[in-house]
Amino acid sequence: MQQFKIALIGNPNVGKSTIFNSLTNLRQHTGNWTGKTVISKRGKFKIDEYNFEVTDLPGTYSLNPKSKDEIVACNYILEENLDAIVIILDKNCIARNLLLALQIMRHKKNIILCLNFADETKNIFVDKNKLKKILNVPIVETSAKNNSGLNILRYEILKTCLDDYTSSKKLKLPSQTEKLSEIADVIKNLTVKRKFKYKPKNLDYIVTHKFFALPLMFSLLMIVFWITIFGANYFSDFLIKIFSYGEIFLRQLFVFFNASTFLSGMLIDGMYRTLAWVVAVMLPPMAIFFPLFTILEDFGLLPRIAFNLDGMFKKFGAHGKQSLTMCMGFGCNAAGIISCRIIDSKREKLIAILTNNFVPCNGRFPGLIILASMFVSGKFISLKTALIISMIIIFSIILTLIVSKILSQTILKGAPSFFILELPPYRTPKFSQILIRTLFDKTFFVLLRAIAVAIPAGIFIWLSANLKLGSLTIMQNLINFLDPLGKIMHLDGTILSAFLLGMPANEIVFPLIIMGYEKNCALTPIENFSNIKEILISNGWQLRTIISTIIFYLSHFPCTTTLLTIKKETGSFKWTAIAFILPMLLGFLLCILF
Amino acid sequence: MRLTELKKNSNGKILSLNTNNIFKERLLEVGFAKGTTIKFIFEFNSTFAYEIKNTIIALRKEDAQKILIEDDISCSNLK
Repeated sequence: MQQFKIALIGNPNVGKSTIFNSLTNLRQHTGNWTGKTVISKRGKFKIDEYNFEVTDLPGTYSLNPKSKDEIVACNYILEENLDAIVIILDKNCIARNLLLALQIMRHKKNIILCLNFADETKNIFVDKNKLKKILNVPIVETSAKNNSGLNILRYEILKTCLDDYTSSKKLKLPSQTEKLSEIADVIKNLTVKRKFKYKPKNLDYIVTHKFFALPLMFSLLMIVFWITIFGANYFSDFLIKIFSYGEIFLRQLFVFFNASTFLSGMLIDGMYRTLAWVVAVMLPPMAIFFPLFTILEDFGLLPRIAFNLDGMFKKFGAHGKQSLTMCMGFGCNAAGIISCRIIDSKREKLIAILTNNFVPCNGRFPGLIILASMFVSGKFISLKTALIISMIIIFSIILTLIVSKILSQTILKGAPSFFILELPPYRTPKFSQILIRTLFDKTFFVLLRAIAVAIPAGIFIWLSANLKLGSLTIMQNLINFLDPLGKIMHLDGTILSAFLLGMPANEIVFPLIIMGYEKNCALTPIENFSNIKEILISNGWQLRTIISTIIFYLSHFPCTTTLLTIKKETGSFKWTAIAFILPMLLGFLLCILF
Repeated sequence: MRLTELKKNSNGKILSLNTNNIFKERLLEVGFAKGTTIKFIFEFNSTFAYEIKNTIIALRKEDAQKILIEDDISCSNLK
């Protein structure tokens, strides 16, 4: 049982991940490179009786690394003892892709060149024999999307691993990028013939059109938003039902074991209820939002969005890619923070990180819907509610831009970095792969994280609502303590306490508000919405309260998961603290002044 | 002439990259080598998209200004 170690490397957007997924057939694991905040993907596959461990390296344009991603890829390729290196090239632009290949060939011999996207490039003919003679490596053409050429690739991988390279010589190549680029061009001219100029249907005319671009992008955002909300609604209701059956069962179990009311209260009313609520509210929207987002990404639309919005973001001192991190933040702010890795310049990355929390995550959607529907009488989710939520979202975007501008003029001053963005051609996404990828990678880990957060939070909340400090419960004391501050902000102590106790997860803020008003000892799941309106109004809610709550909902400290993620990504307590204080102080100010 | 002066859908050849070293390296990596043909295809709000080596690369106006090209007309004049 021989074990081989190989790696996949190549430019961004060449289909590495598709090939990786096809080779490993989901026998893969996504994590972090130790000590670095770069995603590592490792997987396993077998050919006959041989075992292979394959690493999918981050996309890189050259071995002269400029970003964390590239540093990881370069170090791995050069220092790790690999049995084979598969360099994946986009057959559409071999000359440019060859640059990386030539750089690697200066150091390594056990290489396979894989020309992907054969399906799109039927008009491009590559003289593989000639190329093989020049570069002295096997050449394979694949169409990863159609699963063609992969068996030949596997065969070549095995052959390369079994081969002993002591006899062959490394290519003598210069090191300067400029010279290598010229050599790549020459090789391409010798071996690649284009039969005719292939002009694909050009969506870019519409997507980047002077008039259509902004309305199109906004509509897209709204469509994704609303599909997420509507789909999640049904799914959430279903989960709540299941969890309530679970609760009944647990109670009977605790009665059977003669558990104390304290224990059953803390574990069922506190821990279980909070956990059930967080999962029922958090999981469904994410299971819808992330696949939708990934479809847009794989299709090729996301770079166009960054392209369109870069001009505007630059005026506010930020980077065009921040628009994408904000989109990710709509799903989950912690995921949004991680996505800030796509911004290379440290200054602009920090701006994106610090402002990410202004964009409301999936966990805040239900709360926003309740708040928006307060303005409307009658039907719960109506067109008017939709319009109000759209305005709230526009407000959060404007807030992000203004704060970005202020940050770039004060604590994050500096010149704008350079902006180079590749706009890959539009490609139909591999839907089945997306569903599985997002299910495992994103949703599963978000869920685990939520559970880890909700369990201690649930216990803590129950204790604070049931243990007494003096004559009142801890929670009541907190509410009374925060009431003066709340009143200045046109809120009250209950609302502020709910925000504070809801720091582990934004999903529980509203249930906590209701719990505070009703003087309940446990979180009550929100089932009856018209009921909520009555409860709020009877507790003194006015128009002013609704507005302040919306403002603070958008502009308060990030949830604990997001804060932990910020600490991990920035590696600095200072910036994490600023990320905590900035939206909170701004929220205070805006609530007081408006 | 400057890359920004290139008219829509017309071609030019890269002459020189007058940017800082890191940016220059990155430009070379994505294909902006001397003599490469480049075509201006579309723009939105001061961000320009160019077709080079059969891919589309987007640049900001102020960065594209630092790239010098010969347009196809002046090329043929030299002959």
